Amino acid sequence: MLNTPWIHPRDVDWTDSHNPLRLVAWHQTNNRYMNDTLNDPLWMALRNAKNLEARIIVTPVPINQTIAPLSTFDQTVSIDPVTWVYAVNAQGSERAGFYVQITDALTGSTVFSQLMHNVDLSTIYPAGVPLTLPGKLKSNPEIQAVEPGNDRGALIYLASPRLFTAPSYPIVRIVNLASVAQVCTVNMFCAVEIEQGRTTV
Amino acid sequence: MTPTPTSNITAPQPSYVEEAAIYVFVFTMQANIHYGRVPVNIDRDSDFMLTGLNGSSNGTYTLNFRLPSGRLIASAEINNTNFVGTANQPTAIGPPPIYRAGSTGPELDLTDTSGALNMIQIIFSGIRRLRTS
Repeated sequence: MLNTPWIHPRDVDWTDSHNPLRLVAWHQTNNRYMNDTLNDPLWMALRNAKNLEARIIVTPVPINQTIAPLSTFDQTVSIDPVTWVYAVNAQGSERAGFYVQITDALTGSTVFSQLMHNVDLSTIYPAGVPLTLPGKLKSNPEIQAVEPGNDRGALIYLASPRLFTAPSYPIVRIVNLASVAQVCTVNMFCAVEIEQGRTTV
Repeated sequence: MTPTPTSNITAPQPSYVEEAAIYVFVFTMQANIHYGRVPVNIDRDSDFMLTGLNGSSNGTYTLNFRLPSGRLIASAEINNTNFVGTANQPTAIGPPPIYRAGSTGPELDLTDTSGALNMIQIIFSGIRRLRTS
């Protein structure tokens, strides 16, 4: 902290929702990974871009669809022509959880180098913790006693935003690791390019 | 006689003052009931740029809300635990939408999934832009 320059609050761009200076949790001394991510050149371009609209893609459809035990499920995701995916999170109803992979349908490139367990894509309660538990955050004392962790917000940010541009689209793969049917949800937080002048009705 | 050139008088540009703003949304949901297009009314004297979202509740619920364009931000209602942040780390809404003064704001679609009476408080934090001239 002593070596970092002090920035006057009035010099901070508070209209930039992903400016790491506006949130203490994103300060370079608190979370240098998040700070570095948001200062990535691609992130800087997105933060300053015009004609972008926020979007969240929830998969699978319908969201209460159950995945058969120990089976693989692929969901083709319909997206806007130019979609930047910058964060994800995942939640399952069973303790065993599930694996997640997001693949570009056109190039075959994957967001994760290997299948990711949903617990690693969640900052909230571990899979299988009763939904009625108050707080439901990993910082909740009742959960801390079982699964210690830090509250780092609801979103898991990608180190660099991923672009899906027409005719490509993402394919979300879910591999149910439980021996019973499980409700699995994968959410992708995106910014989509929209036509100029169509920001408001 | 030479024609008199038309004068190029342009209307003065409006000026604005920006300040921090928080819209607090408090709502009570009955068990397993869906509520559609619940408004979060924006003040008539200023636009509101939404940059952060956090909140608390008695139980779980799913939510979705509308952008100023009228489009829903999510393709389906999303679990509150996957979207609504905490006071320590609000979920950053990016790119931040701007809701016009006097509008119904981010009209919420809410569904209780806790199976009991569910009181929720959602904090919409951001920037208020007041026109001064």
